Amino acid sequence: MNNDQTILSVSQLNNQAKFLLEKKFSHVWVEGEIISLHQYRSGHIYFTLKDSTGEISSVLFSHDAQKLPYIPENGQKVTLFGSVSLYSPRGQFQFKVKNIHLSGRGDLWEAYERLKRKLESEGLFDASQKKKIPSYPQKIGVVTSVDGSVIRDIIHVMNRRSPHIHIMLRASMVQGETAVESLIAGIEDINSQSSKVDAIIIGRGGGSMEDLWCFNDERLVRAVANSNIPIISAVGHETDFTLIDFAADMRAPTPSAAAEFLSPVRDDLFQFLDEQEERVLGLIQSYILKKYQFIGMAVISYGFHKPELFFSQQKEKFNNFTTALVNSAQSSVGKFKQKLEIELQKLNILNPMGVLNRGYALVYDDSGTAIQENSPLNKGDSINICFSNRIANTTVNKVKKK
Amino acid sequence: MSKKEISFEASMSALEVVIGKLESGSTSLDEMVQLYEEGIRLTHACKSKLAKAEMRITTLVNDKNELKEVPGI
Repeated sequence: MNNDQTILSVSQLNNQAKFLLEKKFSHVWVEGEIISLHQYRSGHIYFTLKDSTGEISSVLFSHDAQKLPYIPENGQKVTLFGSVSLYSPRGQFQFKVKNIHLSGRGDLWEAYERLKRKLESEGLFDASQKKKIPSYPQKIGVVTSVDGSVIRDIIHVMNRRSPHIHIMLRASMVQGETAVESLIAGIEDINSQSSKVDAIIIGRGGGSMEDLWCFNDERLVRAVANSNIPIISAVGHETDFTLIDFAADMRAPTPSAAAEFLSPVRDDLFQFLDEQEERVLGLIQSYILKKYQFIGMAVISYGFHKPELFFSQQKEKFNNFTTALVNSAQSSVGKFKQKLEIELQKLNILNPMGVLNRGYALVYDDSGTAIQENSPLNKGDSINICFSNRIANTTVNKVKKK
Repeated sequence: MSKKEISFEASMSALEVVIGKLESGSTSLDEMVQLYEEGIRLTHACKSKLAKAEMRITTLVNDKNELKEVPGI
């Protein structure tokens, strides 16, 4: 043994190795797959990064983990940024992780942006292409997983707000390799079946970006844009945006929100209809009153005191009739119309103005009583002959039977 | 499409049109009465549609390209 050679303690060796490693590998990118991941209660995350021929223990301390937008999972292919170190107490070589990038994610995003631009330039996302979502749907189609929370949430909302709306589920895969085909078939099936569907909700609960990736598929986006029935997309959480959101006629932040949008509260609708009914009634009533006032004013303006008696009976009938009209909202409308026509005909016939305007005259005594065929009438009586525009006072010379 | 099959949505928009015309009040008495009739008929039709309809849930099944709507999920 060479005397110049100092004998190191284990700790000394570890510390020197640690020093060298940290100096040499202080800012390193390393790519591999995560296995054996374990998060401790302290928040520190330990896992092994491996490739086909080797592996390295890795640690992500809690204060660094908190800065990441997601928690790493087993099986993920990642690129780690950090430094190599050595855990002296155990002499363990390890990678101290500062940041994690999901491998391939960069490529995915690039493809997403490229496809989005392409479809945008084709006009698939144009506002002019958007179909109007009906305000009062009677039947809605839902394309989603049969056992996910989406359909349950939608049924719950509809049952509470609009129990009159018919929900038709078209079960579909919403994740994995078959999801795209399945979703497209769902949209096409609802479009081609025979009953009238007012709107379609395409829904899926929250998930990782990778889980939701099928909603960025070009064929699916085109199928959404091509649907004849308006589509509301409700995929993932509020912060998740997929390409079908742009092609759909509306994007809802969640499936429940989509259901709420489509479901006016039924009691509100009943109230609205009651109001409309009263409005219709009020409008016809005020129209008739206006007509009636017009006739009434015409009568008064000619200063016929007694001839107005002809009216009084009709007027009363008419008044009663308009009152009845108010109460008759629920009753037969046809009868009402017939009655109204008869009343108005009577009014026209009995209106002396009409007769006088045709050239006839009305005769009445000085007290204003109309002289009719059997009224007493003698020589010397003063009578008034009333034309439509003037009155002549004269004396009877002779009365003879016809 | 016969009057009976007219959808709730269509009835609601027809009602809107009727009320608009009634409000303008510029038509003949005969037409006003017809509009009134139509208005009341529409509100009643809508209400009975709402009242009658009960929650219905069905599933559209594609069985070898034959589409069938079956009750429940």
